[in-house]
Amino acid sequence: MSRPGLSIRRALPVTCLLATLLAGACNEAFAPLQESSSKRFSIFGYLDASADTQWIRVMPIRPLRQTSPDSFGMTVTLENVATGASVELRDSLFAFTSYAGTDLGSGTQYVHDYWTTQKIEPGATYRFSARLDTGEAAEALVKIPADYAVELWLAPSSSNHFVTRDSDYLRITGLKHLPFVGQAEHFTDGCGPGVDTVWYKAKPGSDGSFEIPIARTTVPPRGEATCGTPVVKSRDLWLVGSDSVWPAGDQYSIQGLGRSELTSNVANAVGFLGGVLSKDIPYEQCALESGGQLVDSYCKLRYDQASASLRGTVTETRCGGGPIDQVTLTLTELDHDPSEVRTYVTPPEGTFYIDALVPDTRYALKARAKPVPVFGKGEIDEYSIGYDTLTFAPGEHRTYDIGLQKLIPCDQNP
Amino acid sequence: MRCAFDAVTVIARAVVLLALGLQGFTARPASAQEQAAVQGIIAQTNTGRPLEDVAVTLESGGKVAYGTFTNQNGVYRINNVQPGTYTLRSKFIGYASHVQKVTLKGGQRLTVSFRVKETPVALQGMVVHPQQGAAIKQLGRQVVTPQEIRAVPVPGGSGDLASYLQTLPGVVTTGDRGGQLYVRGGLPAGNEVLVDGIPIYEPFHILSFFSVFPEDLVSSADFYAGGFGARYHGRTSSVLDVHLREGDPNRFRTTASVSPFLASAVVEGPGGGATWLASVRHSLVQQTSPTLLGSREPMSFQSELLKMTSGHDYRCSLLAMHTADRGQIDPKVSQSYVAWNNKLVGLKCVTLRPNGQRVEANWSYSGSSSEAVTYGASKLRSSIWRVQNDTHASDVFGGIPVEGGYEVYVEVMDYDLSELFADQAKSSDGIFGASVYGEAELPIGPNLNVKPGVVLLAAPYAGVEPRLRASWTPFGAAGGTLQGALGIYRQSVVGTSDMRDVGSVFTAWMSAPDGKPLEALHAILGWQQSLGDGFNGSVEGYYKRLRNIPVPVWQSIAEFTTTLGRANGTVYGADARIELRRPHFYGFIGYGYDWTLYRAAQAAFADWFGQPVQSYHPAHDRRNQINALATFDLGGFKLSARWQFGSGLPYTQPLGFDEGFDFSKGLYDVHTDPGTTRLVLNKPFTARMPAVHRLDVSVQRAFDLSAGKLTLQAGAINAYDRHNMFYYDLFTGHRLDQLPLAPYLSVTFKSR
Repeated sequence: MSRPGLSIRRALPVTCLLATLLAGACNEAFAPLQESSSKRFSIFGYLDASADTQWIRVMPIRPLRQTSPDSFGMTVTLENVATGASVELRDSLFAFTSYAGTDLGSGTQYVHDYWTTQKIEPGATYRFSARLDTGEAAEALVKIPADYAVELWLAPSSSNHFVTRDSDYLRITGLKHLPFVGQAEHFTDGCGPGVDTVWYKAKPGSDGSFEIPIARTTVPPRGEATCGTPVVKSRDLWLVGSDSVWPAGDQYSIQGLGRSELTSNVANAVGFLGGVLSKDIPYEQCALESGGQLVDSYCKLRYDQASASLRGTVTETRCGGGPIDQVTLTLTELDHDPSEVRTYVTPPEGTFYIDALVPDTRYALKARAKPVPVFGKGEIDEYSIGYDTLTFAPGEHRTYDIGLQKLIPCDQNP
Repeated sequence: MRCAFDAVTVIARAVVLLALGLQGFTARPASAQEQAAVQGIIAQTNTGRPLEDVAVTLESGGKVAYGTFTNQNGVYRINNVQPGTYTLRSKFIGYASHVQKVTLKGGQRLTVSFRVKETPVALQGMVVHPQQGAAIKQLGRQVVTPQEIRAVPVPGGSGDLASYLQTLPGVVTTGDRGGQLYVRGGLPAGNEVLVDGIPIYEPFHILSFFSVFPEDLVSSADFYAGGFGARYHGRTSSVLDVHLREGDPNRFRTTASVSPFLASAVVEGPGGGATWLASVRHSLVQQTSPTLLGSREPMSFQSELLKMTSGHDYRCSLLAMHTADRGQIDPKVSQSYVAWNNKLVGLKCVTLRPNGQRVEANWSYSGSSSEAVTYGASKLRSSIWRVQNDTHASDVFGGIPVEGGYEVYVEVMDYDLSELFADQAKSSDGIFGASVYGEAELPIGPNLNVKPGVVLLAAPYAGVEPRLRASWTPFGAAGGTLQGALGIYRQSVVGTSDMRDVGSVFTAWMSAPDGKPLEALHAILGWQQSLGDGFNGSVEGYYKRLRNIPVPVWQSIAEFTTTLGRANGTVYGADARIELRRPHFYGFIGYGYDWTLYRAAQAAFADWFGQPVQSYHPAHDRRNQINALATFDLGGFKLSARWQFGSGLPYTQPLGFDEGFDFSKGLYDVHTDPGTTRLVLNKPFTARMPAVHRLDVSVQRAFDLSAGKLTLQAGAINAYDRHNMFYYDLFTGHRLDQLPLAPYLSVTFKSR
C-alpha cells in the first residue's frame, strides 16, 4: 500500500524538474524597438521662395541602421492654404556610397528626397503632408515670409578717402526672423578656386529691423602651405529670412531634434520643416560722387521687390569673338546729387549682374574692357567702349547684353 | 616591531576613547554589580588568528549554566553570571577543547584569554557553523566559508566566491561576463574588496563565475551588503573582506585541477620558519569554447598568488598577487576588447597581547590598470594605484569591547576618456587620505547590543561618518534577533563607466568630479530566526539614499561620446532567505526585491522631455531575484543544483533610425547631404529586457588514493539551455546571449 505514495513522492522532484525545463525552453523573442504611433516619420528640409526647386527628405523611422532602395509607398503634397492649389512632390532616390557616418561605420545609404519646381509664394502658408499607403500621415504648416527689404550701406573706401568709416552695414526691414547672414568670399590661390564663408549674428533692433555691421574680411590661407595666399575675386552676401522662430540651441541639435514634440514642428514625425525666403546679393563696390568729386558718405543700395536688376553678357561682335573678360561696367545715377557710382568687372565668362537699381531713375552705363599695354604706346583699348542710358521700371529684371568691337585686326593680338 | 605595536595601541586607545566618549558607557547597571562576568579572546595556537564561532560555556555540576560564541575578533563575553566556581570550556570543530576552572566573585569581570590548537578531525557531511549561513548575519556581516562556496556549482575545479556572492539576494550581475557586481542598488566601484587587508580594485574575472578568490584559497570572507561598521570606509555600497588561508605548516602539499574553463595549481608547505602558499590559475575557456559551447568565447584570465606567513607572538603574512583579464564582451565586434589587471603586495601583522588586546597592522600597495576599445573604436584607458597603511586595535575596556584604528594612504589615478566623455579627457590625479575610527560594542541590558562607531576624516576632505549597528533578542537567543544598521558613507574616488551601455564593463577611476564625494545613507532593519531542526530564516529590509553618482549625460540619440553628469538615487528593497542544514543536505532559497531610482537634473532634459529632472531606473535595477541552492551527500556522491531567476534589467528603448540635420547650424540641402545617421531614443531606461533564469547542476565524487585525494566533478551550466539575453546591439540588431548549455568535467587532485 505504501508503494503508490512513495512513487508519487519520488516523482514530485522529477515533475518539478521537468516543469522547470519546459519553462526554460520557452525562450522569449526580444523586440527592442518601441512602436511609436506618433513618431513614424523623419522629415527634414525647407521651402525657399527664392529657390527653383524645393527638396524635402521624407523617410520612415526604420528599425535597422541599414537603408533600402525600395519605395515605401509615400505620397507627399504641398497645398497653398490660401488658394487651395496643391502639388504632389516627386520621389527621388539618392545613394550616398562610401558614406561614413560619424559613429556608425560605413556603407551605402539610400535616402528618399521629394521635390517640386512649383513656385513658392512669399507670404503664403503651405500645408505639407506625407502619407503612407497605410494611411499614416505626417503634417505641418509652413509659412513663407513676405518679401523683405535689404539695404546695403557701403562705407567709402579707405584707399580713396581721407575719412574712414568703421564698417559697412546691412539693414533689413519687414522680416521677423533672420537665422542666417553670411558673406561668401570667392577666392583663388595656388590650389585653385575656393569659397570662404563668414557668418554674422543678427538680432532685431527696437524698431524690428536688423542692422548688422559687416566688413570685407581677408581669407585666411588654406591649411596646405603650398596653396599660397588667397586672392578674393568676389564677395556675396547671403540672407535667409523666416516668418517663424528658427531652430537654435541644443534642443534643435542633432540630438535635440530627435524626440520631443517641443522641437519638432511636424506632427507625427521627428525633424524640422522650415519656410524661408533667401536672398543672395553681391557685396560690391559703390561710391558717391558730386560734380566728379567723391563724397564721404554711405552708399545705400536697396534690395526689395521694387528694386530693378540688370544682367547680361559682354561679347565681341565684329570678329565673332566670345565673351570678354575684365570689362569694367560703370553705372552712374543721373538724377541725384550726389550720384551713386557702381562698378562691376566681368569674369572670363563675360557675365554681369547688377542689382538694387532704383526704379524710374536714369543710369549712365559705360562698358570698357581693360586696356592692354603695347610697347612704345603705353596702354591702348583693344575693344570699343560702350555707352548707354538706362531707366528701369519698378521690379524690372532686365537682361541686357553688351557688344563691343575689336579695334585691331581680328587675327592680331595687341 | 613591539615598539610599533605599543605606539599603535596607544593611538588606538586614544582614538576609541576620544571618538566615542566611552566613559559614560562603562558604568554598569546597579543590579549587575552583584553578578559576575567572564570574557576573553580565543585564538589559534600556531597563527594567533582569532577564532570565530567558538562555543564557550560555563559548566556547573556537570551541566551547562551559561554559554556564548566568540565574535569575528575571537572575543567572547558572558554577562550576568551568578558568583561561584565554574568549568570554562571551549568547543570548536577541528580544534582541541580548552578547559579551565574559574571562580567568579560578585561584581567581578574576569578576563580569560587563551589559544587552542588545531586538531585534524574527519568530517562527514556539511560542517555546521552556528552563526554562519545564507540566512545568518551578525550586525549586517555575513560570514562566508569555503564549505558554502563549495556548495555552488562552478565550472572549475573548485568553488568560487564570486559565484557564491551571486546567490545572495540583492547582489546583481548584468550577465555571466564582465565581472561587475551591483549590491543593493550600488555601483561596482562602490564595493570595497579587501584581500588580507589589501584593497583590490578589480577582483572579479571577466567570466563572472570566477574571481581571484577560489574556494581552496579562502579561509573565510566577511560580506556586508550595507550598513558596515566604522572599520570600513571609503566606499558606499558593500564590503567584501576576504581572509586567505595560510599554507600548510606541517607538510608539503600540492593541489591541481583542470576543467574546460580553468586550470589551477596550488603549492603549499613549510619552509624557512614560515608557511608558504602559491597559486596559479589560468582560464581555458577561450581554447575550449568552440568545442564546448559551439562558438568561440574570446575571454581569458589568469591570476598568480604567493603568501608567506611567519611568527608566533607577532604573526605576519606577506601577500603578493597579480591578475589579468582580457576579452571581448561581444565576440561579433572584432575590434572591441576590454582588459584589466591587478598588482598588489602587502604585509599584514597581527599580535595578540596576553591581556587580550589584539593589534593588526597592514602595509599595502595595490594597483590596477584597464583599457578598452569600444564598438565605436574609441580607446579608453585608466590606471590607479594606492599605497596604504592601516592599523586596528581591539580591546576590552570595562567589559566593553572596543576597536579603533587609523588609515593613511596615497592614491594616484591616471586616465584617458577623451573618446567617451568629452569633458573628462586625459587627466592625472592624486589624493592623500587620512582617517581614524572607533567603534564599541555596548551591551544595554541582557538582550540589546548596540555598536556605535564613528569615522573622522581628515583628508582628502574633513568629515564625520557616524555609524550605528544594533541587535536585539527580545525573546532570548533562541527566539530570533532583530538587527539594524544606520550609517553615512562617502567615497572620494569614484569609478566611472558608460552606464548607458550594459555591455560596457570598462571602469575608470577618478577623483569625485568637482570635489563632491559620492555619498550614501544606509538604513537596514532585519529579523532572523532559528526555526529549529536545522531551519534558519531571515528577512531584511533596506533603504539607501545616494548622492552625487557620476552618470553619463543623457542624449536623446545614441552617441558614443558624452559628458559626465550627476544623479541622486534612492534604493530600497528587502531580502528574505530560508535555509536548511542537515547532516547530508544543505539548501537555501532566497528572494530579493530591489527598487533603485536615479534622479538626474540635466539642462537638455527640459528641452527634450519637457522636465529638467528625469527619474529613471538604472541598468542594474533588477527588481526581483530568486536564488535556490541544494546540495546532497548521497552514497559518496555530492549533488549540487542551483537555480537563479532575475527579472529583466532596464534599457532605453529606441524609436528607430533616421538621418538628422541640424538646421540651427545651417540650411542643409538634403539632396546633396546624406545627414547624420542616428538612433532616436525614448526616455532613459523605460523598457525592460526579458527575465533571465538558469539551472546549474553538478555531481562530485572523491576517491582516496595512496598519493592523495582525487575528485571528479561533472556538471552543466545552464542545464536547460535557456537563451538568457546579455545585451542587444541596437546598431547592428545583434543579440548576445549569456552562456548556453555548458557541460563540463573537472578533475582535482590534492596530495596528502
